[in-house]
Amino acid sequence: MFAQSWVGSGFVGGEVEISHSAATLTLVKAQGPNPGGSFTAKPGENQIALQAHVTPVNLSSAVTWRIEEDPSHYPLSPRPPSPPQGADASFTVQRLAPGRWPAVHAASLQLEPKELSYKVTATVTDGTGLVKESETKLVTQDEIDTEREEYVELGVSRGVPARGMFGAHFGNSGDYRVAVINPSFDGSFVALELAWSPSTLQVNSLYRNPVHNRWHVSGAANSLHQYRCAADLQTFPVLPVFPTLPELQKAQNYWDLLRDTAVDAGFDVEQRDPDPAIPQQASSGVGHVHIETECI
Amino acid sequence: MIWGLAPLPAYLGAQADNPDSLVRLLTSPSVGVRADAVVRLSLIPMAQLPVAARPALVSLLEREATGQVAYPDTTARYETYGEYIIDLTRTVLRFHDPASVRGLSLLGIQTSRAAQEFVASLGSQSLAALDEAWTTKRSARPSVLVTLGRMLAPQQVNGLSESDRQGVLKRIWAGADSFPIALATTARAASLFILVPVLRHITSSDSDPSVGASVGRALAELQPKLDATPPATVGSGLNDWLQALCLAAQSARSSACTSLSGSLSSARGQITTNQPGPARDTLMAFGARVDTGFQQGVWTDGEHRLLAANARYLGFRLGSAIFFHGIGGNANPTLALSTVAPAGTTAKYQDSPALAFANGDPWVAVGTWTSLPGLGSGILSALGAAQVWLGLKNSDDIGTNFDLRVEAYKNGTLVAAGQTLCVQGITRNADLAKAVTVAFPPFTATTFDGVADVLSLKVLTRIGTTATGAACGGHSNAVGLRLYFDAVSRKAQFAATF
Repeated sequence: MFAQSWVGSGFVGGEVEISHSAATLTLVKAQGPNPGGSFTAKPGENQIALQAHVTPVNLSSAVTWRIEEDPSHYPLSPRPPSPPQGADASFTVQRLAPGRWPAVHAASLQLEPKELSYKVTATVTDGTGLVKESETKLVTQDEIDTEREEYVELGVSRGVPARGMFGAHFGNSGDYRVAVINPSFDGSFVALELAWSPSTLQVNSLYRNPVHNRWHVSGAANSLHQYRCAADLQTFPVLPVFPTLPELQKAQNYWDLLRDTAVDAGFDVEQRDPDPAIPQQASSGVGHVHIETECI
Repeated sequence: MIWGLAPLPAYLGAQADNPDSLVRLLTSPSVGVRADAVVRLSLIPMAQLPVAARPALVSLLEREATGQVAYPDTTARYETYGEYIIDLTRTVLRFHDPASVRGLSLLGIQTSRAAQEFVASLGSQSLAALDEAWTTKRSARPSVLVTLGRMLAPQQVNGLSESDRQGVLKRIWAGADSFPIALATTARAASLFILVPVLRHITSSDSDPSVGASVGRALAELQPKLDATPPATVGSGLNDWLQALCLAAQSARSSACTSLSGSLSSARGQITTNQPGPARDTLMAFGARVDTGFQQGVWTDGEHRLLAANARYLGFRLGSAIFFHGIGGNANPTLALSTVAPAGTTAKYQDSPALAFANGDPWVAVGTWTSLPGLGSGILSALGAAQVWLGLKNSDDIGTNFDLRVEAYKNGTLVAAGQTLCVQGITRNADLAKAVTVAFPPFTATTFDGVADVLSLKVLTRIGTTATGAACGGHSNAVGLRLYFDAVSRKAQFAATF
């Protein structure tokens, strides 16, 4: 016999009756603390709350939770070291090492293989020795928290942007459909565009999620690109591998003018040229102007 | 908005779990570790930073700027170093510590306006560090220039002495030729309106679009400021630059400096005592003296423009009249234009060729009065009516009516022209010469560089006509029209507004 009582949000479970017995077991809740039941490994967001309804009530303490991997998402989501116990329980999502993320941009565009996810089932053994199981519930990160998980696991120094900062935006050159939205940067950028008009700016890179920043474009670990507070602006003419001196001079002039304009608009910039005495210092080069504001 | 420090990266481990540990990490041989420690320290409220943080960060910036730090891993993360230096500069700036001036001058000013402003705020304390940056880091020179400009900004309160200020101007001038974009930014930052003639020359001589845009933006800001600045203040600004250019002058340059300083001092005094005419004459003489110095190699082309063009511009701010002059005898001398008012008692005259209404009543030239190079300075926006005195070459022509046309040229290109039709009552008697005016209509403004551009005025005549081109009465031909000028009683002239 099978009955279901799904509620719209999906957080209230159904009921699976394994055998005819006096004991019943219903999965009431299995969810993270974030909207939609999502979660990250960041402290404060990493507790998965579990709740089951069991009769007779004296079996509550005997409820054992089975936390399984979910092959349809990230299959090695970190499971608790021991099964949670009790009708009201929880477990902590352990922070993984950053090596799990796709190093190739194309692979990183697929969301599901990156989402942490658990198959959660409540079980209880009744007085007759029969094992009862609830239905199985999937607890899965949503897209925003999957993106935020990158900040957590890569240990980005400036912290994890709040969920409310994410949204769709034109300046998203990362791996997700959503990016950090930063009105402070946008305001300064509009001022820069106005100062640069009637010419237009070509933005090569604006927002980068941490994995994209670190492994796909070799960005700085603490880069403000990860908060959409930085942008790389193309300079012109685009130089060939071996530019002529006039071509180089023209590009340098473009760079200098754009740098001065950006600084006037309140942006900080990377230096253009390495110090000849310290050639191993990297610099932005004449191909683009890196601008940023401390907008977090 | 909720922000929380992210867990520490594995390579930092437990050693960086408190501010003191982060300070120790600033000496790490890994730029990645240093960069991470800097960001984490920057996120800690100032009051919670350990005392050691400030000197450690200031020292780190200076060591980064002077190559005393290891760079084993910069090439692996090509963006790390640049963004790290931005973070380090930003973090050091939090302390407002004068001890950070060397690191900021050598490196920080290349990344942010805040760094430039802070270094500028230190005034003379930062000049040695900026000089070091100028000497040792060519890539830093544009930023050094702009920082020097910010040091001179009107709103800056940094206690610069007058001699320090002149020293700063001299430093800026040293980079003027090599870094036109930085010069334009510097001029804007410091409201250096005296640089307008120099910037204008750059726009006419450098075809690079970025240079043009940068300098054009500066001119759009500075030209109106210059035009709105009282003459006394313009004179003061010109004097600042003269003194700057004359710092440590030797031999012929020193003599020229002494002479020009005296001349400019006189002009400023005349301005102060409300003697615009004499002040104008003194300034024009100043300009001529700079011309001579340039020809003798005392002044560079840029210095020539800076000094002469500004003196002449200021001269035209004090008075707009340009007079007709003749060099040589009284009859048909060599024709010239000058701002100096005629002083002679006997008028000179210039005769036209014979005129006839037949064959289309063509215009014939009476003569062309030409200035020395550089007479006009600035944007010529209006010409006041030309006033001349007319007579006849031969008394047989009494009763002949004349049209009079005046054409203004810049370097031989027509700028504006006006004419007066059917002038009557012209006589042979020089004492009864008739004063006639010819107005110029509005025209497209044009720029004179104050050192090389030549202004000329061509006067033409024909048998008098009506507005429809028909003869307006009187004789249909004449031996010639005579134009009187260059005397106290015959101050033929026109006005030019620059």
